Amino acid sequence: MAREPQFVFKDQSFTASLVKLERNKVYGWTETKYSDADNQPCSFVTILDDGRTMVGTGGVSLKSIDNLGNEIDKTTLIARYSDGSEATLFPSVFDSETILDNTKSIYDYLDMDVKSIYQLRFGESNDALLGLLAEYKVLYFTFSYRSAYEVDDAFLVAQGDSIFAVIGKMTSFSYSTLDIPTVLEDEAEESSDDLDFNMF
Amino acid sequence: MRKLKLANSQKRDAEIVFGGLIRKPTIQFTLPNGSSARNIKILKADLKHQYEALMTIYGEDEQLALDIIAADPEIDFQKTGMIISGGQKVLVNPDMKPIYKVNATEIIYMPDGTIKDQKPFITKNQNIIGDFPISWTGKHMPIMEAYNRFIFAKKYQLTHTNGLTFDFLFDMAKELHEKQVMMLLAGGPKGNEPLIFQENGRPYRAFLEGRIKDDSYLLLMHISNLELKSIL
Repeated sequence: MAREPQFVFKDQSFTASLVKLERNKVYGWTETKYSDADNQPCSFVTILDDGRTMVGTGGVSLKSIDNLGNEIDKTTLIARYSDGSEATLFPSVFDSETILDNTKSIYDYLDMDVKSIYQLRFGESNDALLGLLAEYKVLYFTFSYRSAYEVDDAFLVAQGDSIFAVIGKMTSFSYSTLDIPTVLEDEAEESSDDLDFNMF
Repeated sequence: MRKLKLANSQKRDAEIVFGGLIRKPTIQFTLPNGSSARNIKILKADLKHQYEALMTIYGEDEQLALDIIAADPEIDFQKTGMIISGGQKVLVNPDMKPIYKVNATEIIYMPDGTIKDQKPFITKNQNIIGDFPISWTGKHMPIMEAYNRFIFAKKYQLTHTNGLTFDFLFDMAKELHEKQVMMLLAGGPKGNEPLIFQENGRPYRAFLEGRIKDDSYLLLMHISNLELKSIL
């Protein structure tokens, strides 16, 4: 049986399993395949900077080293905040109660870059939670699928009779004034492998 | 900062800048003595020493296993363990020879994994800056209806480069703020195409949201390629 997070809002408690909502499951996906002049299938490998050494999948390993170049056992590393203090390890959403907060607005939700979406599957009726979402629109919580030193922001959102947990990182945008244009960062985007969809 | 060309509801366009906000990691991993650890990539084996290449020489696992014990054919003593960085992706044929002329085919799959279509791959050009500006489609949606209809995966803030574009964007933000709506944006010559931010990038629907506070504005372009739909 799937593990189920427990959501708590004031004196009410809700239990539901998480089913990942992925674009592939809704619209399908595309894949690009390559072949040579003889119609033989081709695959990508990495050619190193020496221009001769070619490396395929599994040919590279990631290691952590200290200042002297010695390999480090990652289990000995200590997580710290930028002020040097030791970081707190937050439990997985499956291992503790998740407190729902009604103080965040739709605009806070809209300010979030989304990383993943889960649909909640309820064993019992979800009417009470749908009622709360009809009243508050969104309910905020912090989310970590596994125990971690950094947690994500998350919102419960209803669409029809379904309830979704939308996970991501909230962003604090600053307003632009005439004198001081906002400083923005350039971001690279990954290449496409998806369908050209038409939702309208 | 990247540029895009945006037209307003009166079809007047201007070149403005946009970008996201980068979050710096808040957690650092250190050694017990407080010094920092550093991640590196090392070479385990190049193509000639990986399993598939060795199998073409030995033919069967048992022979390969015996020689791995006896003679270490999987290790290149000159290269294994070398710290590497950079590198470039290249296409190779089944004989592991680089290919310079390739045929690319795009295969479109249905959600259940069946093939819907196959066609020659065609490069998709970006359409955010060029001959045709990103335009207001006239399709607007109240924020209270849009927030739970689409997944707005990413947000780009649009901002001005000079006084003229400040007025241009402030007016847009004000109009959207007062109506409490998001405006669907689109690209291409007919102003009906999803936005592609870079060559062969994913196509996204983009929605413009505006907020104003005194003499300042916040103009966000929310991009989406997914509707919030039940999959159960």
